[in-house]
Amino acid sequence: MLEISNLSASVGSKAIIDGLTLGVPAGEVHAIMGPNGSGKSTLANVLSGRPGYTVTGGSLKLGETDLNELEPEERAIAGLFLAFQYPTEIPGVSNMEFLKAAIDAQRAARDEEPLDASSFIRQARATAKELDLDPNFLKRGVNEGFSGGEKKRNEILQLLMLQPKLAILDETDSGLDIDALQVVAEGVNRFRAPDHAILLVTHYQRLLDYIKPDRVHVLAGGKIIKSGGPELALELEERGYGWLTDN
Amino acid sequence: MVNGQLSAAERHSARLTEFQGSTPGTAAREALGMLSHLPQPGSESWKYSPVNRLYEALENGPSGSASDTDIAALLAQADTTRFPLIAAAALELASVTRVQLGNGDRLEPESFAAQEQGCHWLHVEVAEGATAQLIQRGGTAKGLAAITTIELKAGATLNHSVSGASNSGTAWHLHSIDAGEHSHYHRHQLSLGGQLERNDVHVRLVGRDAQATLTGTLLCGDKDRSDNQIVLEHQAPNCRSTARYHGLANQQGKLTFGGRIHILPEGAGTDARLHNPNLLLADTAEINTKPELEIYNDDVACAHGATVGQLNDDAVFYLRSRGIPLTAARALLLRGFVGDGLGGPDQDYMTTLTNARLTQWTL
Ligand SMILES: Nc1ncnc2c1ncn2[C@@H]1O[C@H](COP(=O)(O)OP(=O)(O)OP(=O)(O)O)[C@@H](O)[C@H]1O
Ligand SMILES: [Mg+2]
Repeated sequence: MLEISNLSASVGSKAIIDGLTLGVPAGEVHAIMGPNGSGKSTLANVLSGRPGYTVTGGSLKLGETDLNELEPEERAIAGLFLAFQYPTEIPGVSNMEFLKAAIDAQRAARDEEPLDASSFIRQARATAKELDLDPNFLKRGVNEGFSGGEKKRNEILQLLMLQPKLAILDETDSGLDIDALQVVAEGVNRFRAPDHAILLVTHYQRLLDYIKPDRVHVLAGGKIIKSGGPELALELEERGYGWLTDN
Repeated sequence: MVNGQLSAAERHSARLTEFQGSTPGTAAREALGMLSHLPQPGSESWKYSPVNRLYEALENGPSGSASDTDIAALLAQADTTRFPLIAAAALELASVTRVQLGNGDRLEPESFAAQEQGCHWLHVEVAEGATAQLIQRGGTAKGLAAITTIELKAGATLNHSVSGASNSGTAWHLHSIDAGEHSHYHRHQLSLGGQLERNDVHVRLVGRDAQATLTGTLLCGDKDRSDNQIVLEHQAPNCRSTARYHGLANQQGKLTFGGRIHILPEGAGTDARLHNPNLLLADTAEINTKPELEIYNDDVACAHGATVGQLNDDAVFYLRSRGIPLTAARALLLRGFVGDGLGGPDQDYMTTLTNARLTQWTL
């Protein structure tokens, strides 16, 4: 579903991604691990089309769609979703209003029937509840004054409401307490489906106990330097990255 | 007709000759005397709007037909020292309306737009213990001075909505509010700017335990000028006032906000808060904001702040990353910024006007 080949990208004038190749087929979960500053969030931002991040070489495709041609909102409509490492606070715009606007915009762009207000509210409340988020969070400003963990759960709320094809989760597990980690993992597992793909950025093997990955990749120096099965995460937990980056 | 470039003395004598044949009454003479104290162009409180254009607009309107009694009443009702322009308006009064509001009353006076030109004075008294609503909608293509004076008697509550309309010309709006003991004044204001719009709001908390809550949304685009001066004057003990004005300037709009908290020696136990967050949406637009405090009592709590920012790029991107198109994302953020500034009894109308303007801005 996601095909990245020989991608190079820079932030401003600084080259960060340097010849990265990665494929995530539909139905699979791939984890990306790697040292701080290795370019994991940069990759996620490049995929989402964040202004300031430029592709300097290679290609990124979602299905048959060349992502690099698209505006951020068009990528979302094509089925890409990024759960941010640091979700933005938007005071004054309620979570509910925001979610409704996003769903309406996506449906309209795909020529689908609009979701009626009462089904939307019902669905939003039910999803919030599944994620242990008080329904009052729907009325509050988007991420406004949310704790770190609440922001992460709010990202998963959006994921479940928007039902994209590809979900990129950038350290959605950091800052979560043990119970919240489980709640979020359950949410993500509910999203797993034969026609959905997931790219998980994480520092901790623990998350992978809850969300079993098909593949684990190590990103360092702007490229994938090692790939393996779930056992690679265990090995990294034990040995760190030195044995990989030193050669 | 007099010209805006005349000196105060020339203005005075020119105005006097218009009384030829009839002798000006005592109040008219007093008003004539005040003309020599009119603000000079460029003076501190008129730094950002050309006061001369207002004089011209006032003087070119249908000439004053007010009785000496009306002139005297107007001079007594508002603070002529703070607003000497009242004197010029008093001499040009084209209409005077007095209304008393009882419990449950709702007053929607004819829109200023219908009155076209001239100086109009509306005096509203809210009866003791009554809760009432006042809804003013306005805007005019020509020159206008509209003075609204409001007296809240003891224990009265007034929910007041004031909105300008688009395409307004040169206009001076003065709202002078006297809040009596235990009364509550709630103001919801929307200004859409105009060729030259000057809004003065003077809230005097004159009775103990009086409260005033003001919210405002100030939108200024095109080549408009919108100059808004708010004074919260605490004259009695234990009064509270809160003012929050959100400003947005776009295109070549020039938006000015002056917010002054003035606490007299009698104002012990005052709690006063005034905030003015602004968004500058174009490099060609301009925002001037100046918070001022004048405090003559130690036993007070005051908070005062103003900010000028720009639309947050990260927030725009966050919305777009969820599939919301750029223009819709910007519109959502602008409405979010205005936020709860649009409440009160005329909320729907104000929201419609605001959304129309914001949509126009984001296309
Ligand atoms: N706007 C920017 N300007 C310059 N350098 C940047 C910018 N954004 C990121 N970088 C640099 O790019 C590199 C990769 O950052 P990135 O956030 O992708 O790392 P990461 O792998 O996600 O790290 P972490 O595990 O700490 O989240 C870092 O050295 C970072 O300082
Ligand atoms: Mg990161």
